[in-house]
Amino acid sequence: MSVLLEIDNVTRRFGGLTAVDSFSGIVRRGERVGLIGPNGAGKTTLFNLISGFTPVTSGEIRFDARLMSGMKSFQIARLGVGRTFQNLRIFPNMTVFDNVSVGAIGAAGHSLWQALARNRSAAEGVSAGTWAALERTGLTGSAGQLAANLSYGRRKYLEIARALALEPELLILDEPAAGLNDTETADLAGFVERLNADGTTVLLVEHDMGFVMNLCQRVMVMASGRKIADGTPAEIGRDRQVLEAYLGTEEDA
Amino acid sequence: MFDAFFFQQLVNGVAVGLVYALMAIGFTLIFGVLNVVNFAHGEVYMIGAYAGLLAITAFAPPLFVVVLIALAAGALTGFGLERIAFRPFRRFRDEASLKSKAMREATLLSSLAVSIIAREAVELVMGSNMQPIPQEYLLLQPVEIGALTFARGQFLIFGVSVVSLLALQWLLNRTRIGLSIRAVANNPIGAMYVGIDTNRTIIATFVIGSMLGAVAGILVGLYQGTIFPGMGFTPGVKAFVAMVMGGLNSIPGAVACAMILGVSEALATNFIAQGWADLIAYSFLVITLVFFPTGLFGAARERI
Amino acid sequence: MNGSRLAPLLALGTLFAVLPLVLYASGSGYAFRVATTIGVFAILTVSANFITGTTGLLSLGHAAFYGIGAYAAALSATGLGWPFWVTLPFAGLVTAAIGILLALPTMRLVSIHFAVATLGLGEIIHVTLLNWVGFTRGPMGIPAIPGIAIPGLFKATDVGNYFAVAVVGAIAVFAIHRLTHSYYGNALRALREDDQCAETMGLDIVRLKIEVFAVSCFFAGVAGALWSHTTGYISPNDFRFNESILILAMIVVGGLGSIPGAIVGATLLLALPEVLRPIGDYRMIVVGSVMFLSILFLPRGIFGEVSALDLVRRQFGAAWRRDSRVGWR
Repeated sequence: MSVLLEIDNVTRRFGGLTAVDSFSGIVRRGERVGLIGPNGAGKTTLFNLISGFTPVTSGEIRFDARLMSGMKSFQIARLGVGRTFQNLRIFPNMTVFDNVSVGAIGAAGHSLWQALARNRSAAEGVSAGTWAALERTGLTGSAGQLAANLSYGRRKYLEIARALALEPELLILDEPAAGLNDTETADLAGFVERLNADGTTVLLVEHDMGFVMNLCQRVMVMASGRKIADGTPAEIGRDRQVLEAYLGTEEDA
Repeated sequence: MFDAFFFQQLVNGVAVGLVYALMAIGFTLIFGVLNVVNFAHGEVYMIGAYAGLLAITAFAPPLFVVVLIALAAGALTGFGLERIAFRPFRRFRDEASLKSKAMREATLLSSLAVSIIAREAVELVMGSNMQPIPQEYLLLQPVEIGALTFARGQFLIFGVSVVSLLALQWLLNRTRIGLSIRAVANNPIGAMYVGIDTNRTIIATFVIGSMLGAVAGILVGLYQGTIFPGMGFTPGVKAFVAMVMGGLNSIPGAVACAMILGVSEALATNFIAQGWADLIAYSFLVITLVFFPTGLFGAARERI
Repeated sequence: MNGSRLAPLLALGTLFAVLPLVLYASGSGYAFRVATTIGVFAILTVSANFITGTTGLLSLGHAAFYGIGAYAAALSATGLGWPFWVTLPFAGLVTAAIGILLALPTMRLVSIHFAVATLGLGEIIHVTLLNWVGFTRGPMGIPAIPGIAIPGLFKATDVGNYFAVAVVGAIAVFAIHRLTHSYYGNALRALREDDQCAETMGLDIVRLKIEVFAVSCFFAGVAGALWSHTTGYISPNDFRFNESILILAMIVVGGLGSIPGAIVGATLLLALPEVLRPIGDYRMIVVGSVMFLSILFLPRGIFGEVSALDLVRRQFGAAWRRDSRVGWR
């Protein structure tokens, strides 16, 4: 499997605080990779670096061998990287359909003149992409509802649908299972697996160990901004450094 | 060689700057505590001036009392302002609502609306003309020190400003209400959890800030000799510029930038006509917002 | 879908046939002049609503752009002798160009800071208009601006002015309606809701902001040109902060993000003082009070976008089907 995302010795400093410290890692095409670590380890910062929310202080991030760090976040999105957010950033005052359509518009591009001229095919392209994403996430029935009125669980799927409308090669999920009960979590895991089987590479951050270990083929572990382990779930479960990071060493206990 | 004229201008600039500073502090206090811009602050300045004028024409009190009356008017106005334009929008207690964009815009618009109503009301009652301050109160008597000539009004401005600033410092750092103001400015929810009455604190902030604004108004009125209903707009904007330049949450920063603004304006009249001098403040504003989004002295912020 | 064709036809019919007849029946040119003023402000408000209501960029200096358009038209008409059908688009283009230039530095600002920056820019423009006496004649203003007339064909009249404004208004509403009721409009609304997130979904928000500024300023400029030609005299006083606030109030009252709302807001806030003539002096108080009350009690305005959607959805319940024209409403 070829390498899709390559994080090359990336550091991110905020004044005196080093949130991400010389992190290197890869995600291969078609993989399901998890990123775990104690709170404050820098996982969300890393995600923000990948999606272009915040610039790297040093190092490079490459997507499909192209230099991606330094691009604006909309360019990164159009390259094929979709993401969801830890604290659910849907557009509350728009309908479900309109929310998801934003991803499709992002992929197709937006043109003032086309809108003025009522370009049929452009509109149909966006419409088709939106319905496709809605179908994949099972939200077609709620298309006309106001996003603010959706239940928490469905909002999570809405965010995923919006990212899917971008038709991304890589989907980054930031704590997708947060706040979900056991059944919902299991459903989500199955859903992500199907997405992956259909060809979407997945990178996710989660605190729910069961979710990560069952779903992901490979897991990277982060602590204090650094990568401390990288391997299969089984290997990670046995890694001493990982256990220390989460549970503390013998002396602390 | 000591350039007397230049120094004179500096002094003028400092006087103007101090007035801006008094108003800027009011802005900063309110912004710090509520995270909202009080668009009606300029009108508080105007009301302070009119209150002083009314007192003078009504019963000709000594100068010191006039200032006190302006202070009282400011306090009352601040209290009323908080009640009318800001309180009704703090319907929800959670952090997301308190800091939400919608709430900030709503209070921006509501304070804007109230400022318009206040200004127009004063105009209707008092007329839109410039009202002169009676001769006895004008502080234009020159005081000569060496080669320099100051006006008595400038001494008053210096004096009252310095006293006010010191009083404010004392209040913020040595009293309980000052402590609660700093606490709420830092973390409103946390402050609530430790038992600070945020409502009372917010009211206190408005009262203090407005008192400073009103004092600025009466000082300028006495010094310049005329007041009119629209007088609050320009100083209000300039005080706001000072606050933004100073980093939005920093009182010393706001004061410093207000001084810079005042002095720049005074010196600029050497080179450009009076009308264009107003441009300086606005240009500073835009330049600061664009190139120094965290203010000249402000703490670093990722995104404004 | 005949329903959706009917509304615009009705509106056009009212604008070009019914209303003029009613106004004519009132017997004097005054009624037409009031309607013309409302029309100009309606165009202005719709353009302001496009940037503030739909896209969420709170602009506090909109009147200044209106002023640039007015001066562009006035100066080119009196100085260069251009006819109105040249000055109108010219004013629009000049205003759009200046608008983009001035807006470029503010593209990265959000919310309050953007609002204040626009306030600053608006004031800079106003001060310039007031003080650049050599170019703009400063506080003396520009008198004797030729009206909407074609020598040899028709002279400037109150009725003629009304129809000119009506035509331009129809075009403006049509264009902006096309933009807001399209996927482009969705992109703008996403920008309003959460611009950082919208950018992560692939929207080029800087480009969108520039485009919105351009369109909004273009129509504001055209409105200004219309004002110049229909009133014959302009001065910097017409384009101060007060006017920006007036426009803002109209949008707020009518409902952010809604075109009918903007028009209704303009009509209400202008017609009210006119209808109640004796209280003309109190206009700004009325404006301020109405704005305050509507923020307090009707935070979404009369036709605010979301409540309008609610209405629509309740009417057409199951119409969000696969083959319905969901994207283009």
